Amino acid sequence: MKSQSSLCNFLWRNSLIFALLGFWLVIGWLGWINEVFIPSLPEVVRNTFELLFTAGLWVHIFSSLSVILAGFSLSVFIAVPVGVIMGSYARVNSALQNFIELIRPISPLALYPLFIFLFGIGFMSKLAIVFWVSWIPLLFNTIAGVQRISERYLHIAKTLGATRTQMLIEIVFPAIIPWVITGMRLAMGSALLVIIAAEMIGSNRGIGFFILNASYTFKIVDLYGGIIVIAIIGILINAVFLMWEKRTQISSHRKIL
Amino acid sequence: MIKIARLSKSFPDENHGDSVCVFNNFNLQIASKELLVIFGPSGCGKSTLLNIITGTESYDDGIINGLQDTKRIGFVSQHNSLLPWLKVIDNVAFGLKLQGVNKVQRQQAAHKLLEEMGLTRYSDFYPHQLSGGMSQLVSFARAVACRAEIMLMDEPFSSLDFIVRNKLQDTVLKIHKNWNLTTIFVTHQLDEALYLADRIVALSAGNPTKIISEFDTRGVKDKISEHFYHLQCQLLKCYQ
Repeated sequence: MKSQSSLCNFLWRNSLIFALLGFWLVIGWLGWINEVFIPSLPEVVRNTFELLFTAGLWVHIFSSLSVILAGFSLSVFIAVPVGVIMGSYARVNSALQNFIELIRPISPLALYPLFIFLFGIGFMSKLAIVFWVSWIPLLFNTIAGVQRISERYLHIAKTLGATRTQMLIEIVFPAIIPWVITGMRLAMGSALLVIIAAEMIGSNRGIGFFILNASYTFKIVDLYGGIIVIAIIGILINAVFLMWEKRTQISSHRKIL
Repeated sequence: MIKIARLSKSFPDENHGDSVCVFNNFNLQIASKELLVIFGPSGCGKSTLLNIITGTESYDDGIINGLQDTKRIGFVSQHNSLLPWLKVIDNVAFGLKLQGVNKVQRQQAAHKLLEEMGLTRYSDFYPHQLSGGMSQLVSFARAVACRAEIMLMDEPFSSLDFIVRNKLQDTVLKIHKNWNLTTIFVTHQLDEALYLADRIVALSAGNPTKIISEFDTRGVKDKISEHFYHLQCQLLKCYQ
């Protein structure tokens, strides 16, 4: 009974996706589409599997993921401690806030030519753009997390004789984890979006480059394959962070007594 | 013995730009191993007094003696202040962790205390899995576990129902006795004050707060006795 209801739930939640895929399949069968621009669904699926089982696409996938991971990690190491300091000290926050507000709206793609100029085409310039797009949600979420730590926790730690360092390690860091993970999830989503665009502008490797190259060489099925791979990576990354987020967030509704 | 002498404390009044005097030349003594109940209406400064004793609130003038080591002060507030990311056992051992006690020793101490309070089966639970009463009991265990000599309790059972409150009051009395604590218990529940206290200090509602009466209630533990009822009436009369 339970498995039946979870199946129904799964079908309902993905009904639009199934409807669109069904529509694509049917119009392909009926021959209503120009297969040069919109290949049939079975053809796209078959080709995507083929791409995934050849080393060619994996090189591009690893290239994109390694840049995302490096830029993202760098932003975590910088934005989280800065966020903790800004959230803890109002004076530091007020000193840095205007500067951050000034640079925050600058589109990362507008800066990409500058990064290429500074770091050259390749890993470093892509790392810079991923860092740029990741640090903002991380910083703001960390600041929000620190500012929303319950006074009760700080008070109780004080009464138990906690030092400032203990306060930071035992109260502040554990309390902000859910906020930081949400920031990480948002940052990761933005990083994936921007890396594809950056690889299309100035790169000789990566999924973005693969898609652009497929369009230039008119391999439309490959182009669709690349887009599907991006969607799958996005879904997987989001799922991992959602699971992590869920584990760290405390449900306050369940009672046992 | 804790001795508070000539204590003065004012708060800035943000609405009128003036300051509100909570204590002016306030004096109070608490004997060692005494269970003192501070009784008074809301807003009379009971919590402020406890915060001053814990050192989390500053005061303008006065002397507080008998608090050589603030790490020996345990505090239980009226709100659930358990750390939600720690299990019950780790919450109880938290104060010991801050004191640098190694993991094995602090887990042993926490287990022993949970056993004494009848909470062993909840040791691996997270705070959100506990009822309000259990949470307060675990907060109490955490305060006791850090080898507190002075226990400050700020209306810890105010949000609990009558039956749970009665049960927890007995636990407080038991732990107070077994651990040789000096306890200051703040409440505005008449029956709770009389049942728990060795001595009750009744505070006035006005600013500055003053002690309007003191009652020795040692041995008054029968809630349906005439003596208990008589003392309740006397305490009520103080506020009429």
